[in-house]
Amino acid sequence: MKFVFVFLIGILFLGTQAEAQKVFGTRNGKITFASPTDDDVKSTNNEVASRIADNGQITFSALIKGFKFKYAEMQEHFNDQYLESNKFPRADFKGTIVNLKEVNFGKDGSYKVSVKGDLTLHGVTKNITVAGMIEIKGGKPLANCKFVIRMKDFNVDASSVTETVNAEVSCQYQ
Amino acid sequence: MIIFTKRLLAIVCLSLTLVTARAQQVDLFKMQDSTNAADNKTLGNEPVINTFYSTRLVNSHTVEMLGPGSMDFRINHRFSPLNMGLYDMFGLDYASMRMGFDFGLSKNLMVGIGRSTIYKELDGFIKYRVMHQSTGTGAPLSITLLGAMAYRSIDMDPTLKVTGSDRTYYTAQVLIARKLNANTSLQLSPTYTRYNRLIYLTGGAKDLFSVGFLARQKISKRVSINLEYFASTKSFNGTYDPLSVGVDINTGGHVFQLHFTNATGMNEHSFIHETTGSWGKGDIRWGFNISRIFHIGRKK
Repeated sequence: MKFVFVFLIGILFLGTQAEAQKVFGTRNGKITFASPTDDDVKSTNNEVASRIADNGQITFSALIKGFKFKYAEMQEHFNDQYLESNKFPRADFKGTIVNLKEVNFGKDGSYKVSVKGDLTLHGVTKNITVAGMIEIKGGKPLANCKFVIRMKDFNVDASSVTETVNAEVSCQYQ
Repeated sequence: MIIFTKRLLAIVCLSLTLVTARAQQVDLFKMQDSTNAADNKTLGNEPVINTFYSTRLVNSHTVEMLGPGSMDFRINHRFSPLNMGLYDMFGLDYASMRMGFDFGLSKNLMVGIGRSTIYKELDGFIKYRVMHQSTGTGAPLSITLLGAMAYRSIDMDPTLKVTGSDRTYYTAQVLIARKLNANTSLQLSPTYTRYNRLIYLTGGAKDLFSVGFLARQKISKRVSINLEYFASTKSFNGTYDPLSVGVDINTGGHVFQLHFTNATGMNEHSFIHETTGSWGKGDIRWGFNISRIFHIGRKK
């Protein structure tokens, strides 16, 4: 009887040990974007919510109203005319690291990654693949990537301002 | 022994639940959906933007403010009345104009100066927002105060002995607006105007009260139809209440405003109290305002 008891307690501990899947998150991720043609068109959002897990999943969520511009008029046009933030309050990304095997979350170092997933912006969802970098330092990951967003792909009618923007994501996870 | 068996049973159950828990993968996608859904409940109480497309509707100020560090160069243009007939190309041969510069000083404060060709008037105003309509449970209305002054610099008969103060006009307005929904906004503007001396004007009074009614209805993302009307308690002889119907076309940095109006003047006292055209007689003018915003403040 005592054997069974010890055995079960052992399983219990083993169980919790094996179960610990690592999830890292932040609420202060940073997304910036800039127009390649107009210097004034640039904006930063410092309140991006993001999570990454060692199963390869990675998510981002940013409020459109959280994108700050230098001038109030631009921010208004961005929200009211182009992104219609009352109808579509946030931008979302749900993706998976394609080359997860090359990333060791338990070991410090820099890893090149390719992330494939769905970007939802202005009510339009599009599957994209983005090349980025994950740096593990002191056990905490830092994710960086750059990519181009075409306004047309997301039905954003901003052709009078810019056709594309260069987006940059930077998240330090805890 | 019975107690021991019970304890054993409890442990078995516990380990079983843990084992099943392990089988369940963490799903960040579902986590994101539930966090967003929870966040959506706390969204709201944001200041309402774009109650009107511009700081003016036709002639009158709206509750809109210019952002800090921005300068708005405005050209207001009114042709002559349509009833002048074909010889004067239905009024297009003559025009009245106001050219102005507005400056956004802070989120809630702006000032501006302008000059009108009619009676060679110089004007200036200061505009302050005291309440900003907000989504959710915040303020239900936007309220802005306006103080304006105009100086008539045209030469007048020397025998009238007109002093500087006689040439000056004051207007105070409370602008109260609500954006009812994404497309429709309404504004009510109780107005007080002071004439220091009535020159060439009969009837009316030196202290005048009026109420402005402004409405805008968006018909697409960039185009709205506007209505502006002022009702005065006392009018000078030969003047009418100003009524204007217009269209706003917003293209980003510019706002084009096209309208039909019976008013010639474009500063407060002049369009509210000195409108001599009558819609009934076809004394309607075609006009347009062009607004171009320049960013001149603090480069980061």
